[in-house]
Amino acid sequence: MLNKIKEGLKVSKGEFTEIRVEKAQRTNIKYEKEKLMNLDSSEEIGGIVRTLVQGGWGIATFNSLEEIPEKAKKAQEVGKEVASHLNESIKLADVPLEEDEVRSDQQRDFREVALEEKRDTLKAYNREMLDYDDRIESTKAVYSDSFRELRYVNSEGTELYQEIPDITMLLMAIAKGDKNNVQTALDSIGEASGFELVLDREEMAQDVASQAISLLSADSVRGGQYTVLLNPKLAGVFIHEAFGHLCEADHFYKNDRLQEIMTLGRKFGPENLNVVDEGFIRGRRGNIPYDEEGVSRQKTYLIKNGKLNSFLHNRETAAKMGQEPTGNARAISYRHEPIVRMTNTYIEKGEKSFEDLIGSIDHGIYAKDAYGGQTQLEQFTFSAGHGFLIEDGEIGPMVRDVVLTGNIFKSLENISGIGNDLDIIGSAGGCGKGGQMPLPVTDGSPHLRIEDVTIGGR
Amino acid sequence: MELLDEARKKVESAEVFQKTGNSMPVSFNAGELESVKHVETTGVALRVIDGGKLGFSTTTNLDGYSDVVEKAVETAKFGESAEFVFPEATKTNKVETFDSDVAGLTAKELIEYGEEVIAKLEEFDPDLEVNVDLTKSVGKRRIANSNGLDVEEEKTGLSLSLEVKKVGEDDIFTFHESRSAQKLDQFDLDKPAEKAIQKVKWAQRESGIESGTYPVILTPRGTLVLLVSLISGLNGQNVYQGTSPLKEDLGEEVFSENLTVEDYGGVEDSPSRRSFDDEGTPALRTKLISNGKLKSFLYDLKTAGQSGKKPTGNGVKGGLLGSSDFRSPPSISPTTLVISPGEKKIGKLISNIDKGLMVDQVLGLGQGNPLSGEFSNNVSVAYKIENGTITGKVKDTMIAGNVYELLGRKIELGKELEWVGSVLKAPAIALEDVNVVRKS
Repeated sequence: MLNKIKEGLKVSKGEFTEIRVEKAQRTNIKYEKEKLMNLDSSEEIGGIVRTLVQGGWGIATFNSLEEIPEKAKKAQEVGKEVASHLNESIKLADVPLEEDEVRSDQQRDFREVALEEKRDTLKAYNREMLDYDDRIESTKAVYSDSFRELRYVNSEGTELYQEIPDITMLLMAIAKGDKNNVQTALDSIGEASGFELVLDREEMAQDVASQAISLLSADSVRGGQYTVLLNPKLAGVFIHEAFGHLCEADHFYKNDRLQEIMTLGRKFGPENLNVVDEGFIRGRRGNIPYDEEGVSRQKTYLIKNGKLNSFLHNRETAAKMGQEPTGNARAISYRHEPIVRMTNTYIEKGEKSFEDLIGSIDHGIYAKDAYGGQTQLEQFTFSAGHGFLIEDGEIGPMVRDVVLTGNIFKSLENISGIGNDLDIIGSAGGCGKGGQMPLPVTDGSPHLRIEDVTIGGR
Repeated sequence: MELLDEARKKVESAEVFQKTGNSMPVSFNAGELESVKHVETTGVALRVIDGGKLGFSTTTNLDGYSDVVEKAVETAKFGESAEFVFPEATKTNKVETFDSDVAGLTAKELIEYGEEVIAKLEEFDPDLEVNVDLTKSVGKRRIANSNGLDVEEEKTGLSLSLEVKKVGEDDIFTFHESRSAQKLDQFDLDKPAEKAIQKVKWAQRESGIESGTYPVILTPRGTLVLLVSLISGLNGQNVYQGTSPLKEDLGEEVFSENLTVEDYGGVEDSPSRRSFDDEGTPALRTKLISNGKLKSFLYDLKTAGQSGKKPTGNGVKGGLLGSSDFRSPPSISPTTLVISPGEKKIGKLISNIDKGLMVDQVLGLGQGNPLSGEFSNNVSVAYKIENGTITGKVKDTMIAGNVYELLGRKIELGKELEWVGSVLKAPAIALEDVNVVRKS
């Protein structure tokens, strides 16, 4: 295989050429209510050649390795066309040459587990939820595993082989009360590890079902401004959405005014706030030992002691801004070119115990877990799975439909407490950007207290 | 078909979905051309029914047919009960889905289109940062099964997506604008840029609205706030499972009498026009809501079989945004939804409002609990209406409500229809009493 790929490099006349080839095997199983809705075992092979010709990118994808030389020519041809329309040539930051093989790390390789066992494992959790209470109207249980073998070579001499395992499970319960009272609860897990991840998860299934039932009798939260305490899962989504995306240099590497807002050294939060993007933490879904430009992983402090410390870069944004690449060029598959993405992003742990954090809140909301989040540069929004009112430092009744929103700059300034209980949590799904979704990432944080957060509601 | 023959030797019945095609995305970043890409797609999906059970596998490796057959057979051993049969060949009303003008577009032409759009926006305001993606695509679907069905269709597509940023002092106004079409003469290249300029003009001033309950106009794009829930409520699978709030309302007038919604894959100017769905079921005109009355739900083969209904031609691979991705099994999704227009132009709807909002885009679409109809979204592109005119953009503001409650009350629809993405054609919708929360 390697020889065929290298043939492609020889054909290309661009000043820089890289070829990625990916072989992927995956299994998907889905239960809805009692029914098995999908069971799919598939494989895929394909690749992408990207070449810089006189400063312009030409790109071509392929499914057959026989076509590599032809596609390398095609990429070069369109690259030339791009170059003829450019005012300024695209340049790449220098990086060290890499030669490495990274094998996967699984206790129990999911490729060796029989389909029947995968199905039965999921089926049992689904059953657990269905049997929990008569008001559980429907359930969803989704298992997926994928094993990607990535080869990367470029014209500078970098040669890499990496195995990336990814396994996730999502459990969801839908409870029904009166006519329009339909409540959903979900939880999911995901890791770059083996089948061991999904074993012994009965309690997770019970918790999901129990939460859907509890939500039936919870009131909708009243919209307004609150002091909120975020649990690690939600705080992780918050830092990913609210701040991580803002640090992706491709949003502003050509925009001077945005660069003025994102000045390194600018104070963004309290003195004890540290935010990290780390390319490899054992077993985490966001792991990418070498990114999709062959750049080695790094631990990057986005915020250090409350101040903006670094951005996330690929080779192109780093060169344009005169900074170092950070190993954050990622692509969801061979069909896409790499763009600047996060890996494992988290807030470092602080000093405060949970009691300290909650004790001083007179009237607020303890918001837990996340259904998702979205950001548009300075504005963000994210949905909590559920929440609890906090009255005089005590946890009160459960509330639902908790959607938090705000302005990134103000919300970071308003962080008033960081817990001592950092948790980096893998979940199913992933991050979406530029038409590439879902990309495996993880988020993490200790419990986090923020003042003056807007909560939408009725 | 070779793969079908191969599969039939091993199983009772089989279906092959084959997708071949290529596309050419051209990307501009911050007004500058970034890359041109050639994307080639070749893939097959094999569904088999054996011992009454369903198996599914896909591959891109067209030489290794025996692997995909083996995997599909293996998944069928542990698979779900089929509860349906693959359809026999029926007469399909073929619609035109291919345009040689789009197929013939060169990289150079696409680049020049992109440059034109950027020039127009920069001429209006040099401070705008514009990202543009222009993609032309040509793709062929073929569906063949062991009951004799063998259909294929080739379609073209041209899509433009704009992301515009305007950066002020600690204020960033950013929004998306897009348009797709199957045919070049349906693609009005000036329109997205004109609409983008209108948005920037309306947003030049910042306006605030205090928390309360107000009339809200959703632009055609803004109607997505409602449709995310409505589409899941109309999904036959959710009805079958009992989770759709509409499950017992067939024939009832549960919506405003002004609301009429139809699904039909063959709509003439639809960017996703098709003669048949991804299971080979011919495109069908399905009235979902007629003058407020709930008329039908959407079905694919499987759900139709489970619920004793007829399939409505809504078996779509990859869902709403998947554009017939061969990797996914078919599931229920609209093919082209059309909401019938009303009598009043959008300008008239605006002029009827003393104080309220016009919402075009929100963050967090579909997050939360769409099944129940509850929504609560941060607006990202929205304007304040005062005394019948737009007075500026609003930010740090959320809208919240329940889709079924809001559409059950009095609503008014705009006269002008617009394409939103590639499966929705909608007018503006004016709602009464939407909850608005503004950060003070």
